[in-house]
Amino acid sequence: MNSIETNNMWYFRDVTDEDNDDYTSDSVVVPVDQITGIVPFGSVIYIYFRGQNLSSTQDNVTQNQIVALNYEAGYGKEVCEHLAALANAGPHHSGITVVADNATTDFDGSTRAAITSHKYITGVSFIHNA
Amino acid sequence: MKEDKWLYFRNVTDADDDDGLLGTNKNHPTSLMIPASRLACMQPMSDTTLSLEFSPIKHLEVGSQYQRTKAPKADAVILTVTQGKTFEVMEAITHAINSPSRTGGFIVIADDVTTFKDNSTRAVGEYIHKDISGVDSMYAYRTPQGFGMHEYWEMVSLSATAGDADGKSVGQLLVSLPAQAILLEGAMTVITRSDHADSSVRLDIHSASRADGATGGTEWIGAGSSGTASIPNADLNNGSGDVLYDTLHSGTHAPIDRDTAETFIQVTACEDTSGATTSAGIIGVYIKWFGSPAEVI
Repeated sequence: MNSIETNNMWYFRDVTDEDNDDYTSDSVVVPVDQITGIVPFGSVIYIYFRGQNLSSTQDNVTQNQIVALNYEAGYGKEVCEHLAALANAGPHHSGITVVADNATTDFDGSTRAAITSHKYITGVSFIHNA
Repeated sequence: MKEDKWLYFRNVTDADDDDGLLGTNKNHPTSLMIPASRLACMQPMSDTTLSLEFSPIKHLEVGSQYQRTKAPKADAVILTVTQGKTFEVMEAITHAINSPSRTGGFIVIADDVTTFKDNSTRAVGEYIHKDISGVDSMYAYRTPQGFGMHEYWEMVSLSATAGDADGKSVGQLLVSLPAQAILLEGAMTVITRSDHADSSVRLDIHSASRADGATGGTEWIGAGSSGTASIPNADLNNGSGDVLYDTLHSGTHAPIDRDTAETFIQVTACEDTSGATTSAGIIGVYIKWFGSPAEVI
């Protein structure tokens, strides 16, 4: 039997209401092996992924796709260490690991807390993958 | 599942200063983490510095070989090392990359921090080998580097209000070209149209940044480009009733030697484009030049 090589996939969502999760910059799943580097910038940590970014705002001069996470200033190293471990951890049931999900209102109108995978990650700042 | 080691570097001494930019240079991060699989090579730069070079972090870099220097890998971390110990340091880094992981794959190669967020301190930073004494510098460029042939593409969202007269800038590329560039060719295309019927634009070059609404550039691509014919020889119409993906090229315009002038590139109104209510449209701009790498404005 041929073996299937699995890949850890990271999930990010940048809307607070699932009803509004309807655009390329609202949520994204990306393969971990497409990460080119992780760099702090101001109050966010940029995760760069291979892929062409065609948006046109100032922060988008760079051509790779970006997911920016809000984090607690001064703990960039701790966040990086966590993300490295997360990248090398076995994928969960579906293979998707939720790194940060800003949604607090579900489709049925019920509410819940936002999800982050680490205490120093406070949410998704933006997703540039259009 | 594929596993990768993650190499970590930090070149500030206080964790509070780990905020992205070392000084004001947008190409010098204060810390970064890179998958070991992106490591291209390690090589000494002097008696006491060792360079770890990486495939680009922030931008795509494809097809640049034989077109310019430093292609395609210019991102790097320069470590300060003991003279005569470069091999030992490279060996230690290699060993760490190839050893079974005990820390989830997170490897601190060099961390200069001696004061932590909670203001606790340590005498020296954390280094993977005793002959590393610090991070000299780090480079994570926002644009492809090297001297030679360059291309750039950007989608410019036009100002909905600034272009109320012919010749006024309605959008500027987010990069400038350093002096001694030779502009080879350019093109522009309508990605989305204005929501107003009246709108047409051209492409100007200028020696200084030009705010939306300002005038002063020299027309490069458009109906009025002096002594030349753009293809087609017209301005680019992007009003609500115009043709989506209509395209304009620099045509017969000879290469432009910018000599000592820096080059800024602006999409410029050719008729009153200010009637748009919410969107004046998006124009895709392509430029090709020979010279130094673009700089982020």
